[in-house]
Amino acid sequence: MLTRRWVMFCVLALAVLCGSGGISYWVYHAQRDELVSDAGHELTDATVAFTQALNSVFEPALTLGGTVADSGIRHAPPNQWPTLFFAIATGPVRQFEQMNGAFLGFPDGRFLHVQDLEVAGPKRATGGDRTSRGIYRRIIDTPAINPRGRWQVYDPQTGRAKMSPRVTQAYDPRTRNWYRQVAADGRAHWTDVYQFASSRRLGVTYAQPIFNPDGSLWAVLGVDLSLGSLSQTLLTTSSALAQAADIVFATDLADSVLGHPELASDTTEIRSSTSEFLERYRDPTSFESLAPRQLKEGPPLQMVEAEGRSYLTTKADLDPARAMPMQIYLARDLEQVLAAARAVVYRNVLFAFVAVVVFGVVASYAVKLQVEMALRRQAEAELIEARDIAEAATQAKSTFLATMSHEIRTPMNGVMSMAELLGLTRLDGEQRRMARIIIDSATALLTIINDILDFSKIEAGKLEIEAVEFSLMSVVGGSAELLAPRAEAKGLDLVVHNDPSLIDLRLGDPTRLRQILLNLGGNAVKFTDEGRIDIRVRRIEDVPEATDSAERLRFEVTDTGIGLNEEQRARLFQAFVQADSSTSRKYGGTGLGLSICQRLTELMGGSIGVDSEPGAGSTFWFELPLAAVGDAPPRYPDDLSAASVALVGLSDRVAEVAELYLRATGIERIDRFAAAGEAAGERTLWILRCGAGRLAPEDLGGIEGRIAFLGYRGELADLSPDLKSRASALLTVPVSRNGLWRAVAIGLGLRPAEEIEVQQRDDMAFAPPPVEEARAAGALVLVAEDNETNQVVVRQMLGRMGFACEIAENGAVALERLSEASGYGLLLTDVNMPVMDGFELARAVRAREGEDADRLPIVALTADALAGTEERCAEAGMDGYLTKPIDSRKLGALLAGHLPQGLALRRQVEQAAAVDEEAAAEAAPAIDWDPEIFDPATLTETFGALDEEAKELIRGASAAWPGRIFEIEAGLAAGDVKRARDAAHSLKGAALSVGAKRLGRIAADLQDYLDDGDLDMAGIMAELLPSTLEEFQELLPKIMAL
Amino acid sequence: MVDFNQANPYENIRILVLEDESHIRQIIVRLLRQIGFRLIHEAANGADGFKELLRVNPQVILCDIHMEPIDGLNFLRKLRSLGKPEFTRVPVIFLTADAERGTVVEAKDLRVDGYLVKPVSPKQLKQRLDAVLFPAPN
Repeated sequence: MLTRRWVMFCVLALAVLCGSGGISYWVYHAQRDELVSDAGHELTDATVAFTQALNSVFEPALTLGGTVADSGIRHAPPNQWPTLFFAIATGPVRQFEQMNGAFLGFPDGRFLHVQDLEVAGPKRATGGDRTSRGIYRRIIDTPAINPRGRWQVYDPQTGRAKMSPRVTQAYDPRTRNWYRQVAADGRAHWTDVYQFASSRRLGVTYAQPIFNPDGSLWAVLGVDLSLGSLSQTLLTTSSALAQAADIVFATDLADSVLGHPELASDTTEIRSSTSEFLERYRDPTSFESLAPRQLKEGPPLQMVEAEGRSYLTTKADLDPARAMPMQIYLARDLEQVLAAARAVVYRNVLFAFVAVVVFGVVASYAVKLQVEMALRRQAEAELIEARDIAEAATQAKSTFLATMSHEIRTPMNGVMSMAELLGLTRLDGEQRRMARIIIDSATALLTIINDILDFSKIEAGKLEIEAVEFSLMSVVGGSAELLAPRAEAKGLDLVVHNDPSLIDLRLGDPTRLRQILLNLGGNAVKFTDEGRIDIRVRRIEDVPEATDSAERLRFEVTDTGIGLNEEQRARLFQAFVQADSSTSRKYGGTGLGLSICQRLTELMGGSIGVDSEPGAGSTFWFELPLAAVGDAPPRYPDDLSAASVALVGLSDRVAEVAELYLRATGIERIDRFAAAGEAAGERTLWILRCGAGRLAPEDLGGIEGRIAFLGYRGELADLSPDLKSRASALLTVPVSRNGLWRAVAIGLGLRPAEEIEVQQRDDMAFAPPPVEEARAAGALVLVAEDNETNQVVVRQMLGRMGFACEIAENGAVALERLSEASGYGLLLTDVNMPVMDGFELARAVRAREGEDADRLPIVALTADALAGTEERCAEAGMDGYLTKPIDSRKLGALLAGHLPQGLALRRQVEQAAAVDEEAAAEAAPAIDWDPEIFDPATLTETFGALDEEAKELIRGASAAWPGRIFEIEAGLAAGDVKRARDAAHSLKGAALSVGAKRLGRIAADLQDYLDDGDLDMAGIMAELLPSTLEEFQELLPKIMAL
Repeated sequence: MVDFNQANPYENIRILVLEDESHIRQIIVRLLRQIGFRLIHEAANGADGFKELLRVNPQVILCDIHMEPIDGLNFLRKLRSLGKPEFTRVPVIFLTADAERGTVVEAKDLRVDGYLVKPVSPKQLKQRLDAVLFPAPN
């Protein structure tokens, strides 16, 4: 496209060029005649100047003649003639360069001559007698006696003349041509050109008679004029007229050249052979010969062809009264005349060309600019469109994220809680795995939601980093423990190598550190199918400022997984990007995790990176400045150095780390055995790796001493009772320093052996004591919770853990209970409740307690894990908070911490009492109605089956709904948005929990519209509630009949 | 979303029918039952239809055009402007006797998902519904 444009441009330029050339040429021809005519006029005008200039050459001679004639000299006595004549003539002869001399010839042969031989210029310097320079005077006053006469030299400085020794030949003027011509006809004459005898200069003589009053001839006055000055004058005039003529020359009436600019500069040649020199102009083909001949006839302005050229020629005659009779020829070379015209044409063509080029360039730029502007406009339009789309998409995304994370949390509540409960029942291995899958999946889903929330928070700059004291060992170990179930499921080895020389207490943000470790560890497990996950913590030695309080630690998570290529590594930390798109299909995930990790490490002043090769595994690392608190690495409080420990069946890496940990507390005697069958002898402690098919009771035959089994939780749980009974301690993978040391202490008898049964998860399948028993022990849990489902969930969960509880449906009720009765050991309260919310409740409790009373532990339950929740809880006097869905492990830890008095009251449940889970799984009944109205699956997932308890829940919950709807309508009618919103929130929670999906969704939408301030839509949604409730109520008999 | 092992893929699809002539509505509902729909919701005009839409959150809508007080075109306009993805994305098929060019163009500008001219055969109706409910890959 560009090329074509250039070609077009060139063609156009050529056309314009040709066109302008043609026009110029036409103009040139049209102007030619005019030019020639103008040149003729110029020539004619120039002749005037030349005539005047030449007149001035001859004028002094004529003037001198007049002066001598008028002087009256002839009236003086003859002896005074020389003096008088010299007085008159010496001045002009000296003054006028061309005037060579002046003289008087008398009829009686007398002769007076004043002659300038002074050196006054280059012409004279080259000729003449060097000894005879100056103004010389010759006096022949007695021709008969002294025909040679005598010479005087006149000194113009002194004005005096002295005698000169110069001797010349005799001279008789009457024999001379100039005299004879004048004497013959009594008229003035100009002689032909000749060479002066004295100076050999080319010249002419002007002679005029001076008569006596009686008419007789008194004398003939002669003036010698050098013609060199004639040529000089032509040259000077010619240059003064700025080359009005190319050729100028003057001829006498016989057409002999008298003056020519060339003569002015070539005097030497002229001197030596003037005649020869002049011959050149006699060449009949020369212009100087042709012009006079041709111009004799015809008009005074003619074209003369000579030597292949054309000359526009004119001539002028000098006025004989004022000058020597002669002609001046002026000529212009036609070529030169036309060359000027051509130059104009060329200039025009050049100008046209330049104009075309400039125009072309400008035009092409203009075109280019237009095209670019058009493209840019188009691009801008596209950009604007893209921006609009992107903005709309961003808007949609944030709206979506906000609603989605909330919407997902609600049902997740049920899923997680029930799965947790399921995990607490007595299950066989297979069932446990299934339960774990549910929990893992739900956890993964929650992780994603939390990721998204975290990411949004980081993006919005709302995430703050804490600096609190924490134990490195417990954060790293705890993170690893959370990874352990997944690593176990995939058959991976999990190793934590926490450098024992590190000071354990650190200042930093343990929550965020754990988050990063879990993310990197989770990825490692996810992308590794066999081999090992290695989590390592060490000090960075080579950082100079590390000697300060903020020691930099390096955390590494190494896997033996699929690895990453360079390109993948480069993109890895971008938000929403995974190593490749197939990864997300195979492994899932939001692609936000690493991006969050990166931002978190940056917020904590550290850095993050990855070293990896495809197929060779990856090492994800991050480095953080974590100031040490205290100055010594931890050691076991008791001296364990006397112990001897045997490691049996541990993989090399695990054994290596275990050995490192043991040595760190002073244990020297450590042996490794590859398998239990090879092991024998007595040791303080035998640490045996257990697991499917690894150990049999008979393997322990040769072993003497205490035994600790090391394995994943599942593996430990699956240990046969025979083996289990032999154990003094159980160690979970990854092997922890503290666990190891404690096991050795047990081996040495420094601590009692562990109650192995208590270590199991399924030992949490307790039954609660009667409420009154718990109350008497001060171990009753009070639960303030308005949502029926959550009430059931919390009660079930607490029950399974062996704790009794009472439920209060809001803060006010809870407060009432607390004031009416005692024996409550813990208050669990929902934050968002009608009548009195959790914060108010906590404040009221604290206010009531005063300073002296026992402090009741209060823990919040909140569905909104928003920033600031913790602060608000602390402000209200709470001791902590749990997010919903409730994690039973956290609840268990919390109970153990805040309610130790309850532990003893727990009732062991018989194996037979466990729920028939398989039957429950089959329980989802077939229905013949729209599941939107009521979906029994919701409750069968929670309760295992739609049993009486579940049905009771449905009945109870739905009985409250007309009241809720009334509240909503009343709130809206009264403009009390909060009242309507609270009722909608409650209705939503209850309806969704029970499975009344449509009712729940409408209530949720209503709540959203109220939150958005869209009262019109909220009103419309409210109108829909009664008919939807009716729909449900019609179905209720059928539901109860299931 | 569709389980083809299931005998009836329409069984759990919520469909909303907007039609002001009650006998025509009955005919449409009968046609839909024949096809296999079970969760059929009805409304007699755009205003009621709008409420029913909010209430039942249908997965597909069959809609007449000439209705009072809110006609099908305005119903669709309002639906698309609700700002909730489930409503802006729900497919809408016009089922009308109006084959005027202007109406068709207006409907097209509103990005209606189908435009069927009454009377419609069960086969035509099923084809159109299948096209919007079970779009072929790509």
